[in-house]
Amino acid sequence: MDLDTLRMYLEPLAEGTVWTLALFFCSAFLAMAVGLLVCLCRLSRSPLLNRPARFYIEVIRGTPLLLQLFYIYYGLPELGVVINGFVAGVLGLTLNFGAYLAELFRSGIQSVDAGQYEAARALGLRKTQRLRRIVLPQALRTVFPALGNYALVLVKETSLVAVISVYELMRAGEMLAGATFQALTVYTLVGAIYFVLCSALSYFFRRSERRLTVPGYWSGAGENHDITKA
Amino acid sequence: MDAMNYRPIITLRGVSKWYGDFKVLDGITLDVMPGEKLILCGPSGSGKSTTIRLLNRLEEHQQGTIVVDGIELDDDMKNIERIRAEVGMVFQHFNLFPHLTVLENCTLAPMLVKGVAPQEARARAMQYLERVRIPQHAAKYPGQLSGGQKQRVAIARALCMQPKIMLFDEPTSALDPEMVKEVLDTMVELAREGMTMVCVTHEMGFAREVGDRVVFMDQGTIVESDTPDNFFRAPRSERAQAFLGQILA
Repeated sequence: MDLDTLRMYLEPLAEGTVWTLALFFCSAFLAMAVGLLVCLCRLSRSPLLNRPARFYIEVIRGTPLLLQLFYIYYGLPELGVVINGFVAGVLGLTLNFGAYLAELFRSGIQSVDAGQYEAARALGLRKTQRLRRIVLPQALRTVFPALGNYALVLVKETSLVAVISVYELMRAGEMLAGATFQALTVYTLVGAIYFVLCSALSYFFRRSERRLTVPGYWSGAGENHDITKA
Repeated sequence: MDAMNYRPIITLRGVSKWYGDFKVLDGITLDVMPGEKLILCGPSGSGKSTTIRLLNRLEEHQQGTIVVDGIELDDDMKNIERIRAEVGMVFQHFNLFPHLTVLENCTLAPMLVKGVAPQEARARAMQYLERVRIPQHAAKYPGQLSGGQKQRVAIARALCMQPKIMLFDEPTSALDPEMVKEVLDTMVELAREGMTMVCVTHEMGFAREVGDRVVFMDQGTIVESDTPDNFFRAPRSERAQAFLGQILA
């Protein structure tokens, strides 16, 4: 394979990778924000907040992501809302993952011992202080491994937006394979790139998990968690 | 006793509370003087923990009035915040913040609630950690401490807010027997320094040593109120006799 051929393969894939990363980072941060907000609404005692949150979570989790993307990209224009593919992709992924993250965060928040709230109240901490300084840091540690899971899934789910003609890694691969008739080579390369991205992310989460570890709590695979022990 | 010359620092008048249809407290009337050490005891479900938790509004009462340090407790969040800054509390299960170091546990509330500068908060925390004889563990996390050490940190954490009143809700009930003494010793010292204390406890040695008064509760009412010596030697009510018979057996 000469240099020109190599460049012909790698250039579009590199560009696609950049867009995939852009999709991932935009959706990941927005989904975290949406997830946290929806989770807090879901946990609110006010039906005005928790009913819509529940409804949102159920609808999103009850329908395919692909359909949600179609709905936003092809459906909304009929209502006069036309958005470009990238924005539609980020919106779809954000709304979809936001629902799952909302439930993940809820499980984390509800796992925080009631005594923690009591101690924080008794010390005079206000609601937002309790949430930010006491509840969320503990909830985050509890859900962190699962959060890593969702991040890896998101990297791969960005490939779905190829079908609403957003240029990203999968779409770049598709076009390249069509142009070169080298499907096997191209998709092997594409797969390798996804694998590298996921491995890097996985490494990041492993490292962060170690950093968040606190002796005696959230200790990860410590001696006490050895299920094979007699 | 001099303390009796002052006006009460805690006043409960006809305080009642329900959980749904169930009346947990039935017309509690009680005064606590500044510097007084009040012991609350009684069988499980008698309402003693609920009573102590009313004093910093961890629980709400539905009838009667509660005045703490001149402030009446109602739904006004401002008042509740003022009271909580003045009233320290120590729990049966410590409730230390596991994601924060011992030092951070002690500096968090003074900084967030009272606006104490970080440096001063740390200095104050070390001072109280020394008082509970645990300064060497300041950088550790609660998960690395024994139960007795945790409870002493919890006491230091409450003291860092420089409260006027300290509430203890069965502070030694979750401890291994050999650790009870170190926590009680800390409480005795605190009592000697003149702190106003309300303690839910069955530790009779402690009650006799520092208690000014024992209030015995049963089924949401105050059945008997007396000096520790009188109460433990010769309880007047049948219910108190039965209760003491059980915990002494």
